[in-house]
Amino acid sequence: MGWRSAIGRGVWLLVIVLMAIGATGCRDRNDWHQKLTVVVDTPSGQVSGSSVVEVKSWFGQIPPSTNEVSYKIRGEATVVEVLPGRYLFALLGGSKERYYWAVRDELPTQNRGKWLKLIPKMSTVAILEPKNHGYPMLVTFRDINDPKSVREVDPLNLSATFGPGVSLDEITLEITDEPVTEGQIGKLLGWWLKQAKDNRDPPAFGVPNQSPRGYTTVGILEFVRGIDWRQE
Amino acid sequence: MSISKDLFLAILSMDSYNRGYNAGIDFANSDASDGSAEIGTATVSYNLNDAGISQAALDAGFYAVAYTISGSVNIPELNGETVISYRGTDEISGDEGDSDAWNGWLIGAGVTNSVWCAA
Repeated sequence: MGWRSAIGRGVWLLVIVLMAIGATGCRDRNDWHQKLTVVVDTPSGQVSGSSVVEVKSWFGQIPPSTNEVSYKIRGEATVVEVLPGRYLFALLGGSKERYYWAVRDELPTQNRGKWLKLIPKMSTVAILEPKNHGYPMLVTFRDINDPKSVREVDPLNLSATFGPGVSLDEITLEITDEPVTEGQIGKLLGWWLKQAKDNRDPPAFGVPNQSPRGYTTVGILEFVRGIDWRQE
Repeated sequence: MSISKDLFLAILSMDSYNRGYNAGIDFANSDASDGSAEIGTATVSYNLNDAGISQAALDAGFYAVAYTISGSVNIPELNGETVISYRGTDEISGDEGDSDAWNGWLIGAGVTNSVWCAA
């Protein structure tokens, strides 16, 4: 291959990269902050916890990618101290379209490009339902300092985990101007975050379940996403 | 219906776009490696959490998942094999350091110190 050919290929590569980078402006960008609040009834009264998460969305395809939409999440899992020293975590998985699923019957359109524009302006406080992507995964630790004590919590039967008289009252989700919540996870699970070495995650938790393997893994992105937790 | 080995591998190649973060089609627990996530005779057996690189991969716009093949009557040569499926370009020009053009395509151009390689 002659040097003219090599330069020609290099120029084409550069043109393609610049076109791809420039094409990002062709997508519709819509961002919002959403606050997830978990309310739990306990024998000593009602307790609750909230966390504000930022959702960024880009709608529109840029060939050769076939993705219609991409999202970025920034925030932390919601934490509730259900009983002294016993915490309930509502994890981040599913955050990106949870508000849509909660309010979809109110929306005048099911066209994603259109409802993504509407969501940041909505004021509905949605009470989540267990079905249709409604509830986040809930976990707790029998001992907040013991990674092996993590357990999934049945949202319809909190008393099985936390004892008699404890039940989920409601989980709500609303659009808010409040800032993204930071620091709650670091306060409670700082010992875990510190286990991250070099560029790697802290070791994922093995949450027992009914799967063939007997447990599923829950990692850092379910607890903290888009926040520099390595400085916690 | 029987399918060829190449077609099945091609399906698994596409399937990685529908699992994990920013999946094209959003399944619940889409890349759970506990044996519950299946496609045909392939079961997701290893994910970014297991590898301990989910944060680094997200930051770099990288995604891969591994399947274990079992009970494939039509493609016995794949039985017991592990197949690793990598996403290609799905975020060309991410504006937060996760651009495939920057992090992925440069590997194809021979620049191997990109963050994808690190992930």
